[in-house]
Amino acid sequence: MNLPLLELSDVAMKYIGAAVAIGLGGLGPGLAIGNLVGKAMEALGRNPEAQPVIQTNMILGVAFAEAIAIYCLVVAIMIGFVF
Amino acid sequence: MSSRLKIVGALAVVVALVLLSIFVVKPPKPIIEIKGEVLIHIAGSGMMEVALTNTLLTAWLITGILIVLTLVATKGRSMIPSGMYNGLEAIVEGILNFVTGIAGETNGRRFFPLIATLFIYIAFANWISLTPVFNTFGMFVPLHADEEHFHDEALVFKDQGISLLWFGAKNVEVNGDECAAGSEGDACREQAIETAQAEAGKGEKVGLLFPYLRGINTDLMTPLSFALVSVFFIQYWGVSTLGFRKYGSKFINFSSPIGFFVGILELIAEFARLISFSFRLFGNMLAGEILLLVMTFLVAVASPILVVFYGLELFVGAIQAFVFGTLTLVFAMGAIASHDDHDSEEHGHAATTSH
Repeated sequence: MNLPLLELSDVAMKYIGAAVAIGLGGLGPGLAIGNLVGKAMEALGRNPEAQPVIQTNMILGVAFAEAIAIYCLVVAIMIGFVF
Repeated sequence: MSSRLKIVGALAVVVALVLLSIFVVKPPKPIIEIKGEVLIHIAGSGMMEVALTNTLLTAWLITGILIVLTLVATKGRSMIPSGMYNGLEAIVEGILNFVTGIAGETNGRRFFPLIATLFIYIAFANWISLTPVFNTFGMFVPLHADEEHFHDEALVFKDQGISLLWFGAKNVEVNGDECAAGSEGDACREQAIETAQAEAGKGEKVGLLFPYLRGINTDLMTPLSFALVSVFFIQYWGVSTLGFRKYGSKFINFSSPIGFFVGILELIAEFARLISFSFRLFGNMLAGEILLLVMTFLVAVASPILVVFYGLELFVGAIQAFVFGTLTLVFAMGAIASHDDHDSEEHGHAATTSH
């Protein structure tokens, strides 16, 4: 079966690829950062004196999670601008 | 009352300038280039090209600024610090306290020079790339037909001998894929450029703007070299602390099958570090720059909102420098910790919690 609506040009496929890359790639890190910060806030509520250690480790963890989104962003930018 | 008047006046001037720039001057849309633009070609081509790119030039400039700043600040050194010297000392002391708090006194002082250098250099480079002299003035380069230097989008500019984005510069699309006469590749692109040139009119050229100054971390090569230095020093510290045999046994371990696979995984993780270090910094800074551009041209009428994104970029620039330094520190701590020596591990743990 050949649906005319589904015949996409190369350029259209390219942009869909870029959108899917950053869209799905933002999903996981978003969940991860939410979870991370939530737990850090819980820990802060239990033990406010440990604020410097918790904050430093939280920022490190957020940077790790965020890096995954950044990889996807780099892929999306590559699809969009380079190839 | 008068201060409120001043604020309102300043806002009115900003809005007027923005509206003037949008509706009267009409700047061309910037063309996003991932690679660093070549300002002076020296030798070679393709992958082996030796050239002075704008990011390299900016990196040298930043190094120079930092050296001069330090020399000037430390000139009037005294026991009671004041002025710029005081500020610099506060920064260095803050980093030293942070590093020794995590790694302990002895190791902290060993790691400190590299961590502090990475942090100060990256943070300064990220912040200075937000000043308006970056990405705005540069040299115009006529469009070339060979595939490497060809671009779909280009600028039309007056050939006036001054390297500034002048009034009347505008965007033009050059389609190098479709040709009437059946020619392909270079010839086709050549034809497309000639067509665009003919449409441009007299005294105007089709080309690209290569800015002299560009944020150094928006070119992958700079973060990659930071990452190489960082990973090299992590290995060096590991070897010099544990000895070559003991450190190597972390990666190549024939004591048990599980140990062997864990070692292989560690080895892969060591290389993955290189990629994650460089792409994290590169991606963040490139995305930040594109974000600022997109926001400028997306909500141009409301571009005073851009101040918010400048604030965000200041924050991101500092955080990325902090993360780069801290991750180097954490990985270095992992590299000098041995597996079968529980004493040192407990000691390191105690040092971390006492912070």
